[in-house]
Amino acid sequence: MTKLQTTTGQVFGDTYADAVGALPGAQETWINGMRKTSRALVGAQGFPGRKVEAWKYTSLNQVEKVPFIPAAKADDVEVSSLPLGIPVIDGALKMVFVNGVYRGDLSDSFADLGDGVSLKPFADVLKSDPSALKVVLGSSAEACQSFTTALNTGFMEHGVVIHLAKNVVLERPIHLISIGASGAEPGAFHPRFSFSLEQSSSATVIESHSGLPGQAYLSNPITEILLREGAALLHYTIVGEDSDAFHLGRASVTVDKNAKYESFILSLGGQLVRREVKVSLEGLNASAIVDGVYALSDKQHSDITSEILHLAPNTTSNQVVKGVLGGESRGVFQGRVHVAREAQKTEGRQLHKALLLNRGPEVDCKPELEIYADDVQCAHGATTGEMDQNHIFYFLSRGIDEETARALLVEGFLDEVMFNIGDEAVRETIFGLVSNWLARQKIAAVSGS
Amino acid sequence: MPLIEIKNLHVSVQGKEILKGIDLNMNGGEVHAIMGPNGTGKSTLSYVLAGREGYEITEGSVLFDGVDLLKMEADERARAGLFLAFQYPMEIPGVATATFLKTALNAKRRAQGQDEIDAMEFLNLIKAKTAELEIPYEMIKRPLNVGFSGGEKKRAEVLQMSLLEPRVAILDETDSGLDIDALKVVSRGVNSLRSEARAFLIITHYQRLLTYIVPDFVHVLVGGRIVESGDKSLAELLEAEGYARFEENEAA
Repeated sequence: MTKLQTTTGQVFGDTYADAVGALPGAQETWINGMRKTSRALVGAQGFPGRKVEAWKYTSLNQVEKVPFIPAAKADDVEVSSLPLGIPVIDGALKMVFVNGVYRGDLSDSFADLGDGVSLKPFADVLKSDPSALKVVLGSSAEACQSFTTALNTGFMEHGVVIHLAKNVVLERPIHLISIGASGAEPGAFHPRFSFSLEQSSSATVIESHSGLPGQAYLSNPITEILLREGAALLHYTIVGEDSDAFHLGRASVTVDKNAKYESFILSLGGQLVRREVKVSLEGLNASAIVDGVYALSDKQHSDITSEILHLAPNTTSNQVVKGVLGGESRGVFQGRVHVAREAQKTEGRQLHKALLLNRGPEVDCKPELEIYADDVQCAHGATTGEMDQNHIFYFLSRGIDEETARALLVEGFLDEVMFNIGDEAVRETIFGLVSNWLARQKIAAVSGS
Repeated sequence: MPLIEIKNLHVSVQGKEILKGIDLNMNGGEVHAIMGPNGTGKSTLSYVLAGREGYEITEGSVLFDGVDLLKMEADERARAGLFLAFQYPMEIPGVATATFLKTALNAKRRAQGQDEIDAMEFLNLIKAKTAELEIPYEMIKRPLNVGFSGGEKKRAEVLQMSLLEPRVAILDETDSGLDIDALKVVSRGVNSLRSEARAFLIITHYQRLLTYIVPDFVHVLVGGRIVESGDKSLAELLEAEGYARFEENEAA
């Protein structure tokens, strides 16, 4: 059966746009233009089908069927406290977004963060000082490159704008907490997080994405990051959406000379989660770590699609992504590493490993190495396997029960990558989340032995 | 009552009979050695006793302290005091040796109605045991057996045994891959665990180990049967003459 692309026109088309109404910043031609172009792309091309290479393993059929309304307009849900699922990172300054909308009453004050630190709700900047966004907005998250970005850019309204001046070291981590909560109708929201770190500045930012049970919602956040010469960012993304929810998110990062981008994605799913990450290493000695873990159960679908572009000499990238899958879940990892002709002396390492807890899950892995320079060190590897029965027997033979054995083996499998998380408080939180996840799985019960 | 009472044990693997009627009694305080050529079922016997899957018991019985061992799960057997030192200890990436040891020890303690071991007490215990077995203390922080040399793996097995204080310990070719110094250390570790309450079953291909761990009984396993039993002098005889005469009988 041929799917007609007009469906999209109905879902995120005119009706949706009318409901969204006039967005702040509309007086600026360039912002208006971005929105229009993006909406036109979404409208014309529709939801990408499986024939689109980048979406070969992730079908959006389920998302396409839902008649979403703009979640910001849903006034029948009241969220007056944070859900307990993902704890606030110890010592972090929290900014809370409910259905994409910034909620000052649930957030910490960010008025007094010191000289050179600017933290503002995106909508406020759009209204009062849109030209401040000119440099970062669209700098790397280009709508024509990704459906996820186009959908966000077409309707972006809320979010956060973080700017660090030259040499500013922001000690306190910032924790952006996004909460989805649909009322009578399923809602969609498109938060926009923009960070720009000037020369030699540094920060730690955590994003967590969760939600309340009920109607499905679609969270569509874009994080756009600009790291100037010598800047350093630790960027952690934790996705633990509600089990009916959808998440189409992306981080687009530009890394200048001597700058460092270090990131970790934890995907505990939702119904369908796609995290895209694109890192452009644009300056000499720029480096990136783009690690991740996904842990899935039931019929969850999680996709991590990454693009690392080495565009300058002496750039390095390291990526380890590990997945643990139970139930009838589906995991996707697509990892493209591109080394441009001028990016000599590049080092790029990529590893994806998936561990299947039973016979139900499936994993699709697509590593791609494109190397146009001749003096580079690049390596990639991918494995998918079941738990080794011999290993389990070794534990049993020492009196350790099977459930504990399997839990220790899964933790052991994931520890290797989780130990590399640079920020201690984040590392502890992520270990805690993974260990809670394991406890919920009763993984011995599905061993099939 | 014997600690272990094996009666007419027949075991098949994928329809092929490997053990063809084993009878063996072991009492507390005794060290039994099972010798035999390769492929005669020595390791099968150790795995069947330890409760590994994939072995079909077609006939016979095994009692452990009067209880039907074959009805118990592998982890229950271990908690009841059975221990198998593996010929090829598995490498377990990501699981620290200390975590593994502590989890195993606590599983046993819980089964015996004891509290979990105090962290400090555990560290002291491990320090003492590693020193005794000449194991570098740092090793217990490393992932279990990963990157350990052959000798280190065998020492780590004896460390586990020493920590878990089993009532019946089976050592499967513990001497394989050991140089003479490591062999002495491992033997000393085993000998220090000999007691009236404990029985050992030592499976080996060579007599060498038995000069350090002197057995009370030696059994010759050929073609899935114990074809001869005797005292330690039998081991010396086998070393001198080999297994040829038993294999001829088996063929006939």
